[in-house]
Amino acid sequence: MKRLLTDIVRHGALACFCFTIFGTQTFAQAQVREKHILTLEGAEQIAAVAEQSAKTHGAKVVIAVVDDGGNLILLRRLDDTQVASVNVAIDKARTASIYRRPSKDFEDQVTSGRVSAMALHGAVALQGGIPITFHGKVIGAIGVSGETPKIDEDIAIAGATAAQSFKARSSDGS
Amino acid sequence: MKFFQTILMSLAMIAVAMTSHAQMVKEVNTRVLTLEGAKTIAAAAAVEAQKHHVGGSIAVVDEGGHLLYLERWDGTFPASAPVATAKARTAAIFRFETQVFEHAIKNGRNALTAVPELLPLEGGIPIIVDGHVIGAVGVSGTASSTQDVEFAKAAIAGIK
Repeated sequence: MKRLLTDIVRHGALACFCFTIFGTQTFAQAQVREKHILTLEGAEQIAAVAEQSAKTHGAKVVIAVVDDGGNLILLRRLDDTQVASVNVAIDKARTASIYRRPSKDFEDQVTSGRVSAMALHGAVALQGGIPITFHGKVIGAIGVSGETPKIDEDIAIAGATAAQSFKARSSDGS
Repeated sequence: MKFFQTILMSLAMIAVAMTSHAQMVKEVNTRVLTLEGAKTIAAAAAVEAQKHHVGGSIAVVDEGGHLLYLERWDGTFPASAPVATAKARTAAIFRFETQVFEHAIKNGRNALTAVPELLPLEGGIPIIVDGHVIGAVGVSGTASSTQDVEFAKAAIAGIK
């Protein structure tokens, strides 16, 4: 009996010791994690492809690229595009980034009766915003405005596909 | 005779109408900033940023204060983008360097803080071609507001 109790205490102490060493390490790792961020160079590649697509369509549009916080990294207004498209393109990009889906999803919701989608904070229910993904994660978005909703989105989709050939750079520049 | 008078009256009215029409619309020979021009301007500032190893954002707007081009350099805090835009817009629609407003407020004219659409922070500079303000540049987020102004000036020098 005494032997059994001693064994239990000893094993229990060992278990607590191991938990303290390895268990707390696991918890510490869960407090901070790494993520990939879209660089200006990446945004420029996306915008360049979108600009090319716009020229093919003969479209006059604004192209906006935002980061994963929906904050503007880059904006280009093609010559003679209506000025209202500046804010609309930014809104579409932000929507796609912070909700991690095409902004068309919300336009579709409204069209099919879910009007309350227009009350979503920071969203516009307008087609033309497409998320930019890298290794399955949304790292930003592109928004296009100025032509018809379909053409806007086609240009945005073209731009977003540029991310498929993105390469990562570690934070020390290597 | 009556027919002849009617014709004369009609011709006179047309003549008057044409003259008054000419006064309702005026063609202004002003250059319009293109996207290519805006890119060139921004590139000049980007060179400065790389030279000094700093971040920042540069915005180029047209004469109405509407964004033509913006880029935020890697690692710069997100708010530099809307601030650069607001500086550029202010410079364009008030047709003054924003530094003028910052100094005016510093010298006591606090009422300028109440003017709508006016961001009184130095770093916004109008782009003037042939005596006309055709747009403006705004820089924010470099090492200091003084450097914001330097980069904005370097950007504009890129189109001269």
